[in-house]
Amino acid sequence: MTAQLVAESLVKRFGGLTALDDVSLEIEAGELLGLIGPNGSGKTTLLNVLSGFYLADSGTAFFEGQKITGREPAVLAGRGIARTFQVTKIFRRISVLENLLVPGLVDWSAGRSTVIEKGQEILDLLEIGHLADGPAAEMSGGQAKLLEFGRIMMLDPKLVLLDEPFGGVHPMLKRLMHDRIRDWNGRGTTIILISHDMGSIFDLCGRVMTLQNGRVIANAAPEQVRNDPVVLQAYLGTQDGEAGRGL
Amino acid sequence: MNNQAKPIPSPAAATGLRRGILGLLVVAVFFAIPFLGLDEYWIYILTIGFYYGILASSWSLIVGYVGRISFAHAAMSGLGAYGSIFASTTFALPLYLAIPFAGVFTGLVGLAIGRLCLRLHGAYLGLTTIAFSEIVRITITAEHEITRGSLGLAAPALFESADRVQYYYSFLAVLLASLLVMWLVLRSRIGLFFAAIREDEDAAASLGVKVVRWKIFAFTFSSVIAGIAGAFYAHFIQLVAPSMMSLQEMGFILSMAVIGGFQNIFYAAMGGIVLEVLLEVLREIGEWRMAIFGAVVILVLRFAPNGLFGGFADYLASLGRRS
Amino acid sequence: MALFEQVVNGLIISIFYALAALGLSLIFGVLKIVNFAQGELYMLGGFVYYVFASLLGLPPVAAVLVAFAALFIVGALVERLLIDPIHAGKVERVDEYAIMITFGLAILLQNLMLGLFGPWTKRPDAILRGRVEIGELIISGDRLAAAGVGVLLIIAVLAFIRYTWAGKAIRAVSQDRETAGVIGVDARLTGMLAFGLGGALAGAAGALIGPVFLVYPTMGVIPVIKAYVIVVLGGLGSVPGAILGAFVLGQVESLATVLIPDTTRALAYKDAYGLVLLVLVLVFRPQGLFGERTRRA
Ligand SMILES: Nc1ncnc2c1ncn2[C@@H]1O[C@H](COP(=O)(O)OP(=O)(O)O)[C@@H](O)[C@H]1O
Ligand SMILES: [Mg+2]
Repeated sequence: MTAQLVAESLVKRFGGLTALDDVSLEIEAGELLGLIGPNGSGKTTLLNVLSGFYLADSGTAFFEGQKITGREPAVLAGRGIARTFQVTKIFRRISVLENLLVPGLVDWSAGRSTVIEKGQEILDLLEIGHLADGPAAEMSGGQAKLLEFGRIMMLDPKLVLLDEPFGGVHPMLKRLMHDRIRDWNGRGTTIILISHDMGSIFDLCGRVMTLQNGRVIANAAPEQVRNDPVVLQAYLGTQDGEAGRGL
Repeated sequence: MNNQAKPIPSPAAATGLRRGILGLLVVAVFFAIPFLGLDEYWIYILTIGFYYGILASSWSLIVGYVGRISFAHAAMSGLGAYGSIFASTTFALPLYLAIPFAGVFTGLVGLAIGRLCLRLHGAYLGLTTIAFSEIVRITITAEHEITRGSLGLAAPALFESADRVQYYYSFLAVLLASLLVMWLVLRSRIGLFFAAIREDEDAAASLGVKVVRWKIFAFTFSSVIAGIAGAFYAHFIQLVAPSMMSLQEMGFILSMAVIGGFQNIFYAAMGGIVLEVLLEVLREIGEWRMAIFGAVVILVLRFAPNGLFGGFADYLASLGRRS
Repeated sequence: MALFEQVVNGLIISIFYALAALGLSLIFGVLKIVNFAQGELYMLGGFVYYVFASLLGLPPVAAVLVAFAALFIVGALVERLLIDPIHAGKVERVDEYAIMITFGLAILLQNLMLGLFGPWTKRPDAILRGRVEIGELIISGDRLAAAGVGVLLIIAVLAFIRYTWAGKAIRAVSQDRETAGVIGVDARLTGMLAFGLGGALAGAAGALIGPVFLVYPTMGVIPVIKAYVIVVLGGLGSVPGAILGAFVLGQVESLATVLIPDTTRALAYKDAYGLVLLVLVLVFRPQGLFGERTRRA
């Protein structure tokens, strides 16, 4: 059996800049893959290609054996690929619960009352149930990240792509998010996690892939990556090579 | 879990109920008006006000709910008017077929424009729809052999008798019917998809909302309503000229929707009726009327984005909450 | 010779077009909004010129400068009162807000002037009267003078943007508002300056063209649509693009008119060609004919 997600030689250019340079990867169902790399190394771009937001210039990706490159984001969401955004994108001027109803009601066979019930359960699980009827615009940054989590939980996705979910999140909330991610993964969901927070990455991920200038420079278990001189060099080497211990 | 049945109706439901009752009262007043011995002239003006109510509310469906601007709405109404005239004269269709035909025709044009403008936002969409609107107006003016150009085209009357009250109730019925259809769509999950697209298109798409489909649907839907309104209008005033597609006319529709409250179809419709009546009441001050409306549009956008009716309703709701 | 005359006249029209479009582009460049009241600023310029040149008897060139200055103030005020709240975070739906509020402003200004001056056309005194003969070429003096001053004005604005510190601020904010802030440019002030300059250019255009095409409250309606076409052709926000776009539009209009044999219809469609171009460009090449595709959001 082939891997659940297979990407072959993805290339994405923006004008003269090659944001993804021949990126290939394979992920088995149920894996939790960390994706790291310095700013501008192409992490978000990879995620955008895998979720249908960018068209790859060349290369193909398959999910459960079906081609996903060139498909619309909404179609991919229907196939079980869900994502969050680095800059949180919540629906500000509808209620928190309604934010969850959007993905819930996309399935026309789902009835409104079941979807509402499920939405409320998820909000409770994320400990923002008390905010359900308030406008989403009034949430804090961290709560908004949780809401994004909740929205994709509504889809019961098979593959979850998380882009910097811990950015600007209070440590308490972060712990809650860790628990949710573990839970999720424990129930068989495949996850790709982009984060600058090395603690989270090493805590959570079974494998870590490192990008630099759009190329995969390392792809291994966390403990190996932690001591990989190439990775250290990528992160800190260009300015002051000696500071690498901080990782 | 705290999702047990709530014993007390939520404040939102209570104000919703109050607004519903208020709405029914307003409708009842409009039904009663012809019995109040009002001058025929005002019946006529109110009928035109209903026409603008349809246009203002269907315009705010795109702008207020889906968050996309359009300057082609007056042109859509005009296309409906001309479409129905051609259907009923050149093709000799009876009006009960010609008017739906006009609706379908404008719907198809709206579909085509919606399809073309899919990726455009904000100012780009504004400019493109202005261009469409002007192209339609110029074409109809230029093809004077068919359309009689700016002289305008005569339209067969909707009713044989010239009874104003008959027209009044017809237009009231069309207004209420289109509001009802829009309301049903907006309160279904489609309305939620509209809101998601308005708030964040990318997020909506990432959650499986067929953004393209719903944007085109909204544009088509609102065009159909505008087209039907235009068709009815043509058979009411019985003379249609390209000026009904002018940008001035579009500015008029925009003013009505914004001043009434473009984030709510009912407030926008009220804006249409009230502004049309005010235009007549203030006839003596001439062009100053529109200058005042322009100033009010600016003030409303800046300080009361829910419009005068929306702002008033919010105020009432806040009173209710306090007591 | 007739052809040459045609070319010169086409050129003069293109200069008028460029003048009308330049301000729109400048404003879009810095503030990323289309000012849908630009045609009314142009109209106000025409009226200021009419009042100062014809009613108060100022020398025409001085009256043009007055129109320029007056509309600079109007533009800057509009920016501070209506547009700046966007950047102060006081507005929820930025795109629609900017479009609708400038559209509302257009309604206000047009009807305000209708109320004040009535719908009648006025012909203010021109800078030059009569005809000018250059060899066998005969051009009406008012057009030639207007075009001449217009060219000077365009050059002055280009030089201002290119060489002055304020011009550099305009370019910096046009490219990237946030980065400009980081390097010490006051983006809010620059926005006000850009809108002021954009208004001033529209005002000067109205003042210069007023004696040729007459002054009346709806005089801005058609020119502003041409200006939309031009800035879209040249790429929204690009000042050189706007100038290039003006010449493209001038040529397209004169060419397309020749293509339709029935002259009355050809004339009736004259204003539509540019609009068709606008739609094609926005749908298929939104960065304009000459612009490069830029980074999305
Ligand atoms: N839409 C875009 N247009 C142009 N350049 C882009 C776009 N998206 C990303 N880039 C560029 O591609 C590179 C990779 O960006 P990104 O994937 O966001 O990096 P990361 O998420 O790893 O920080 C950066 O140089 C960025 O500027
Ligand atoms: Mg990123």
